[in-house]
Amino acid sequence: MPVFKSRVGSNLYHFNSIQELMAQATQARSGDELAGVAAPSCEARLAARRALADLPLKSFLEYPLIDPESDEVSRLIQHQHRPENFEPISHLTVGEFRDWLLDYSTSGSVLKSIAWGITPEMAAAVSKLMRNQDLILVASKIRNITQFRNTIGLPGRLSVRIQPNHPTDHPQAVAASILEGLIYGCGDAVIGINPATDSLENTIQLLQLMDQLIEKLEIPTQSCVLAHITTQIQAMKRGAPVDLVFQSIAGTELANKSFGINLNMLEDARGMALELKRGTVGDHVMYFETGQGSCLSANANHGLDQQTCEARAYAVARQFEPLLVNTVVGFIGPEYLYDGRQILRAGLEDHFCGKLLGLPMGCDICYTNHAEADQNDSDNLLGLLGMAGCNFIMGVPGADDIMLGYQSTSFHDSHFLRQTLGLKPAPEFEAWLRNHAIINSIGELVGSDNSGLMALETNRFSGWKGLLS
Amino acid sequence: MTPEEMAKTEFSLAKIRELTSARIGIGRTGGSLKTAEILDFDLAHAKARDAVGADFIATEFMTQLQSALKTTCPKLSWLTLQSAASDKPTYLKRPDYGRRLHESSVHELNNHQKHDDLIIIISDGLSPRAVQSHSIAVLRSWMPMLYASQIKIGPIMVVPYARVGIVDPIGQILRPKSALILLGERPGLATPESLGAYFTFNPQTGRTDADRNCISNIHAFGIGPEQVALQLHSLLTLSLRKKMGGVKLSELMAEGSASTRLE
Repeated sequence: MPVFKSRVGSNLYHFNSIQELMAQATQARSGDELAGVAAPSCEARLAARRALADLPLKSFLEYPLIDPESDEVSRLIQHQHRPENFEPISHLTVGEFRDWLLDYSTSGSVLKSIAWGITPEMAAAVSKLMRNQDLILVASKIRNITQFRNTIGLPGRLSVRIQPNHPTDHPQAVAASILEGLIYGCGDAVIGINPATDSLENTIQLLQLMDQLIEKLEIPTQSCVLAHITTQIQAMKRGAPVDLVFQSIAGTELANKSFGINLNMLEDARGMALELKRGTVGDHVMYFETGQGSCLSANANHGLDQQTCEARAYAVARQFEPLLVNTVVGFIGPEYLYDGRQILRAGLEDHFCGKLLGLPMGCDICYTNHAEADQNDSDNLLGLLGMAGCNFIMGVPGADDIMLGYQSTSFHDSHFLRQTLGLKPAPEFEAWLRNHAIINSIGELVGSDNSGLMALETNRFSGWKGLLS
Repeated sequence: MTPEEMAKTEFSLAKIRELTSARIGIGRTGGSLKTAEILDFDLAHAKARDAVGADFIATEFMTQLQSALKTTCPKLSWLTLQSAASDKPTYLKRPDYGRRLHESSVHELNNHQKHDDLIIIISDGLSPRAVQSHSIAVLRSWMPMLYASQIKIGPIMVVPYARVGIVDPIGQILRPKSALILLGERPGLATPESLGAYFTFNPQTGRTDADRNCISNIHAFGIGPEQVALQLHSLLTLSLRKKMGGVKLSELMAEGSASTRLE
């Protein structure tokens, strides 16, 4: 394992491993301080970034950051790596790689052609040398398009997950939040419920509710109950209408174990979902959620910084061809991302790394009430991710998740982004919205009566009232 | 629309409002939020921020807890312990401290009776008000069931500034068959006082989230104390019978409820 020296003026800095170099080159965040791997000073951080810039990309193939003998995610990363895709960049250092990414001639299709030549560690390393604008620019070149009952991630499109959570999973209350979202033109990414109770019966009931709603209104979208994968497997065995299989994933075997999962379970669940053949235009059947800090929170970070761990989770994700990957960036709390500034940076890093590795990245732009953040911080990240070409965001009624107790983005927030950047919903879903006269040709909500559930009072949507009974 | 139809519609919207505190039907200006909604949201956020910062005085809470439970449960023993987090800012930034016991509490526990069926821990967590408002009601509902099932209950412990993982070092010393921790969840906007209950079978060092069973959203608009007590009791009795907890126990319960339904 190499050691690194970096001189800044009269100060000489030593880094005893690539792990240490990567961690100290990372922009400041509370989680790395908690892990005891953060740079001890601003100058040390700069020294680490300089040394990292000179590191050949090849080093990451020679020196795995976690021993593959003891970690199945490391084995997966080795297994995924395709030398023929790596060849065009194999001679570059991390610093040169950044310059290469920003070059005019490095187009979206060039970037896609090297996706399986890049390892998560290479993506994490280069992101540490990139400014926020670099992360936005490079990500905006890449379009990772996926399909199930509609097409997500096309240029000029922004999809939204309706997240109609309720503290007791009350079916009518959940349905009311879903209808509200639909009338606001949201729901093309997925209608996805985090259940308050992770029981089989409850999961099946919620799946049936959404299935009936999607069928009755003929909505070109998909549903998901974000229960544990074992519960969803049970639900599929019982014939429940499972569109997408959800699971939270992380970048080390040990962290995944703490979630009660491993790679084989993900493979099995995906196989079962594929057999159901419920997609109409495509068969991307997985929905993953990730977030910086999950490995450390499970004492499973192996001395790595949290952003590198997060990028490794994307190796897990891309193995299973997901429809959606959602980095839930501010949910974990201030011990990992202290304030709005750290959350914003992490959101841009995750989106960039995921896109570079070929994933359909979305972001749950969010914060908790014990973090130093508010709605203005969310607005900032929302705007920047819109510029970066994020595939989807969350749509929570009024941005207030009354079950999980945190603030995400709202249906209204999606209109801010669609309006300022001229973004449209997924094409199949857009056609459905136009057919129901919910939006007009430029994406504005039609009519003064079209205001969420209030619209059920009008003749236009009075037929939907029955869906709440 | 006829007046009758109007009345019917209004009734149904009102009914939905009773069912959920989700911010639905809040209107729009263009595609954006109206001023009144922004102000309402920001007020809720202000209250939640204040709730996170609220004080929790363990000794005062212990007195309330004892006076609420003493008559029905005269044989219980009580302990006030300390985590390794000494104040709120440290607690917020260092979850690892919240999962560890203070040295003095380790000594105190070493002298305590061991090998009970169940130990119960209460902490302010991220919402002191949640603990003050709901934890006593949960225990009041549950205690009679525990007595009826002849569960051997260990000490009731109040531990300020704790995380769920503090169950493990406590379990390591007291060696109970199972442990429950009640603690304040992160305050949301709809309610700044939501309680969480985490159950661990055979708590000891090295347990992970997958080894625990959780009931969250215990508050005035969420799950009520009687229902929580029933759920906890079926978790506990099945766990002690099958000698397992966490994801495996959940799976077993899922299979159980599915087969019951089939019959």
